Amino acid sequence: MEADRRELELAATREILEVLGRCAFELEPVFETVLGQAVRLCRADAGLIYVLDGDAYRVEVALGASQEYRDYIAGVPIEAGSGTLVGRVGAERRTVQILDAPADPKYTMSRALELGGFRTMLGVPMLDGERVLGVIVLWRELKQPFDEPTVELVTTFAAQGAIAIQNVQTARELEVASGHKSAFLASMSHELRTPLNAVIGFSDVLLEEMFGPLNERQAEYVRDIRDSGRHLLELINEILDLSKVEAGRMELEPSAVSLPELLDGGMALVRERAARQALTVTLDVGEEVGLVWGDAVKLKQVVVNLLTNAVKFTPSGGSVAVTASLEGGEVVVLVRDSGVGIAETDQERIFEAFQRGDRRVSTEGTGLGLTLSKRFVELHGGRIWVDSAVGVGSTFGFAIPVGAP
Amino acid sequence: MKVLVVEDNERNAKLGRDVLSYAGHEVVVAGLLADQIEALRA
Repeated sequence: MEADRRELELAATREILEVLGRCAFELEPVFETVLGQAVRLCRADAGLIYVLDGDAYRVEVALGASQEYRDYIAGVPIEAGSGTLVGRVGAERRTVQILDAPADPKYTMSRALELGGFRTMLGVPMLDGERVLGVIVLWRELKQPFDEPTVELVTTFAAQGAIAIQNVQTARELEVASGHKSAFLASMSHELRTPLNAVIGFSDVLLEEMFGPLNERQAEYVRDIRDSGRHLLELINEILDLSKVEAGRMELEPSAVSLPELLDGGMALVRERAARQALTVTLDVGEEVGLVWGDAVKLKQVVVNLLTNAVKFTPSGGSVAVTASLEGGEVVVLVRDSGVGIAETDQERIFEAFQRGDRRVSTEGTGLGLTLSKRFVELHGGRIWVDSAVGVGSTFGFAIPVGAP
Repeated sequence: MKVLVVEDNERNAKLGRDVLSYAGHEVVVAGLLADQIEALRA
């Protein structure tokens, strides 16, 4: 008998934990499961869950009580210390049992008594340290006390309920913090970009020698100022893009894009640097590759990022080969280099922000390019990957559907 | 050519004015909204 009961209690706890895991940031499914199991296993006639909302407790879920009773209590917030079971649990921060509510002079909710028809009541706090986040209430219509094992069981359930409340509160706080972060970034983007325009612009004016010549060292320093300004601007733009993607506010502006033209354009941007490093750069686009439905600006950003990385991490005399082909409704682009390669352990995290693996050939770049590329490809309903071996080279690839995403 | 530069950041406005003047244009710089309207009227 005791073993059977224990088995039922374990099954109930498992179910609650399962719901808690599945609905980590929703109160209702967790509370409904907690209350359903508590009422059933404790042989109660009805149950309620109250949650602290500001200064008062409000009923969140009710089970087994009449509609009239529910309508009544929905409009009655309960403050800690008031002449009710929930008020007492809130004030005393411990489990309270009222053996016979109609006969208890401390119990003052006469209308609730009348509508509910209960006698024995149990109130168990859902605690976060010393704070009573909520209260589980069970009642019986007969004068019949809840025994110690029953109280212990409800206390276990109350602990699960408290976790659910904390999860939801954390989610709400994160939402608020995320809103603050977005507002901060939007404001900072303007504040940071405006002075950078002056830094980069005046550097360009000096380098153009519009108002007089610079000596060699002065020109070198001004170039350093301009390049650092551009780097900072790129970093700011990429951080803003990333924050937009992560906030779900980055939207594609899709159109029919010629992939061969886009790849050609990307190659043109890296050709000069590749020539300086004596790299062999090739582009091979399959005849079947033509238009894709996508955001031209973002796809170009992906291509340029992969090409720039390939050139950057390939030593002089090496090669960068780009291919594009059509495979089962997807267009597949591969950028293969004979560069330094990436250790297997770094290949996973290379798509995470500010990670470059061990490819420390140069300190250039923001460390956000691959992260953004991954996000942009995923926004197109595609995927991005890397195959690499240290000392042999890397192949970065991405595939996106040809049709509308 | 007569060019109106609308820029509320003083340094960026100076940059626009200097570069365009160097290129031989006649430049009017307006920063605040009231100045911009005034400049457009003139």
